[in-house]
Amino acid sequence: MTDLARLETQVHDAVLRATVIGEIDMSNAAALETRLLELAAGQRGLVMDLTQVSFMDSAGVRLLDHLVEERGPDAPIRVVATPSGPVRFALRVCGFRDDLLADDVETAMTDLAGL
Amino acid sequence: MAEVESPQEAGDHEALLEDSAEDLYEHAPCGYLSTYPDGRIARVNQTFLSWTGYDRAELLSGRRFVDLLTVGGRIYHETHYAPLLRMQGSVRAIAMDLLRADGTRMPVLVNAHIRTDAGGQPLAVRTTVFDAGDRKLYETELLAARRRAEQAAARLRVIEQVVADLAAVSRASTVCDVIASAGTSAFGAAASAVWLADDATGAYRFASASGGSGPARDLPPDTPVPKNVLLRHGEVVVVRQEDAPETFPFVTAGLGSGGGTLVLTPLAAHARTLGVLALRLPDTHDPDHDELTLLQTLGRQAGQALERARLYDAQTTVATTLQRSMLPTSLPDDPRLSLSASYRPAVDGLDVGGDWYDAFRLDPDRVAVVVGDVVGRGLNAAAAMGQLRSAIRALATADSGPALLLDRLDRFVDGVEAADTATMVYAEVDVRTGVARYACAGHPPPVLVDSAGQSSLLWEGRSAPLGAHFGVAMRPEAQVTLAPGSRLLFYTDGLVERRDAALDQCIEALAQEFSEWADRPFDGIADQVADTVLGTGRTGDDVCLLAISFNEHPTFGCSVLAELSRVAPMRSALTTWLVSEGVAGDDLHAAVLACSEAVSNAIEHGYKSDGTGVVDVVVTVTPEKLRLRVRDKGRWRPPLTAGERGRGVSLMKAVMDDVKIDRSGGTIISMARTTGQGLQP
Repeated sequence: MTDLARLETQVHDAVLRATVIGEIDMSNAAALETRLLELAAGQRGLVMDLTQVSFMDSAGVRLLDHLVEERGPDAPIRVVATPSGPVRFALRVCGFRDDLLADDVETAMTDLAGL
Repeated sequence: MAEVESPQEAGDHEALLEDSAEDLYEHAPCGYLSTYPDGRIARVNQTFLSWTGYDRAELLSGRRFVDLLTVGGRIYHETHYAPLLRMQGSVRAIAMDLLRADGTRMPVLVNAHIRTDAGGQPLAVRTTVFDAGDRKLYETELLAARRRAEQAAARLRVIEQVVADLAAVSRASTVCDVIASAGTSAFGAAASAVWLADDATGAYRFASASGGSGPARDLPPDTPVPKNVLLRHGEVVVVRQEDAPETFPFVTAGLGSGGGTLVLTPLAAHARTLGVLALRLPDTHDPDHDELTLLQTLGRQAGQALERARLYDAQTTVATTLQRSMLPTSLPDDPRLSLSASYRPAVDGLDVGGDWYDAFRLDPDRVAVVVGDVVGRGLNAAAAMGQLRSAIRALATADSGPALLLDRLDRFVDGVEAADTATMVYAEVDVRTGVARYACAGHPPPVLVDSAGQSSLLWEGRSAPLGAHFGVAMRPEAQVTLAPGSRLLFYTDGLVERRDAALDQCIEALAQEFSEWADRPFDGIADQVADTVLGTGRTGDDVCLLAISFNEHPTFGCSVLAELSRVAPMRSALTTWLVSEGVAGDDLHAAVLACSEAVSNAIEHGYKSDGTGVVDVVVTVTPEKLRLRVRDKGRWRPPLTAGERGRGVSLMKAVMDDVKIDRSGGTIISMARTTGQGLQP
């Protein structure tokens, strides 16, 4: 994806599981967003697995906001972030929607499968 | 010739045929033509016949000289040549065109002279004809010679400049630079390089290069070079490059392989070859004799300069080594007091000064700090400085204090002439309380900067230089209490003496400069301040700096180039440092996040990601607080869409107790966070 972050994706029952490995900041957020929208197009749900992201800034939070906006109310999203990690910290600070957060990928996938 | 009248054939023949050296006449380097006064040709030499292709019998059968001219030539002959000849008796260097037998033209120069009898009557006209084609060739040669002379003069001027430059330099490396650049500037070499002979091994080591973009520099600086037999004779060697690789592998490597002629000039002095100047001349340039002579002169001049430089370098090394050996190798190690020192020798080596610094422990809780300057230069000053430094260490006792120490030193310098009128500043710092007692003997005042960056000069406790303290019962001393995080800078006058500014202005400027370093890491600060202050307008004096920092808080500092890709490495370094300082959890996340946001903002909005601006980051950790300062010198442009970009600032405000943004000249974002209180401050 970029030097800073790598993207791995899998699709289960029309739910795209996108795992980001690395860091998300102002230098790579826009490119990451474009790529994610392409990959998620046509999929019913999206699980953003950010458990392997060691840093995320406001540009990363903005990216997630955009994904929610762009995909609309009929395309559910879950963002997975380790409870005490730096991503969860940034999301909490920025007041990201609590109801879209999950602590682990399994929970998130199960969540979306039920919708 | 037709116009010359009174033909007197009889007897005149004798006059015409008087030449004895027949062969000389026939084959002279010019054409000879003798005519009767009526113009008919009476005699002609073989040279003229060979040039023109006429038959001798044909010309002597009544042809006139004027018949041999072109139409234009005949007109000129009638209107100018003949009247001139008649009036003056002779003409010189008249340019005409002869018609050869085959009808082609031959440009000639003609001299003519009328022979007369005793009564002044013309007997005959003797005409000398020069091939003007030759003359044109001669003129071309003349021009070429003049060009060569002009080139030689220009070269000579450069050589004169080089010799003057050589006289002014005192270091071998500079001599080599001067010579190498003369190779390209004076001799038009495509590449020019200098190697120096190594006395110990006899090998030649690369010293300097000019021109030959790239190849000349490809030779590793320390490539050993076999001593070449050809350079022993002290003569300039010229060789085609294609013939060279076998004989001169190092030279070929050093000058690149652009082809052309290699010219090797020994740099010799007293029958010793100290080095070699190698030029690669372009193909079109064959060195002439003058150039080779000039090169030899240059080589001798450079050799002498090199010898002087070697002597000079050796003496300088002694003086510098002596001085270095007298500066402390280690400073007292105490977690409550950090020290940073810098010593800069004078620009010109032999003028080693008597500046020194020292720091030592008086007792477990007190550290003594000294910076001083012995008057004079060279080995004497360095030696006196050494004695003074030892005396201070011996005389400074836990109970003496600065004033008493100076009194004792006054008595000491009475017996050490070179140490007389030395200046110094001495301070004793109590590392428990921060109380510093100090005294200045004729020395510039120390600079105090507190943790907030407020600077002041310590003007108290002043008295005259050592040994010059007459009629005063006791030297004064003063006291100042250092607040935690404050710094003191001691220095010698070389730091504040500039030709272009008054001393007090320089001291004020130094205080200002030092205060700007207040929030930067203390490690290596003496060197950095010296670099900044001495950057321009250097004097030839040596310089000493000693900075101390009392209860300094751990500080992280770095400069980030204005490219977004540079932010991640900064985050990584900052995270490592914060973890090593025991910062964890939300405090760690907050600090890294706020700092990253501030730096990204500065790069995007301050510098428009120009990749050249610099963002300075300073982070300080105290037991209760994290402080961050991010500074850029860019021009702030408001975010394009406030809602989007403003998020960075609101995020900083969310994770920090206190965020101040100062946009007076660049942007400074100062943030603080009380640690150990979780997410919400």
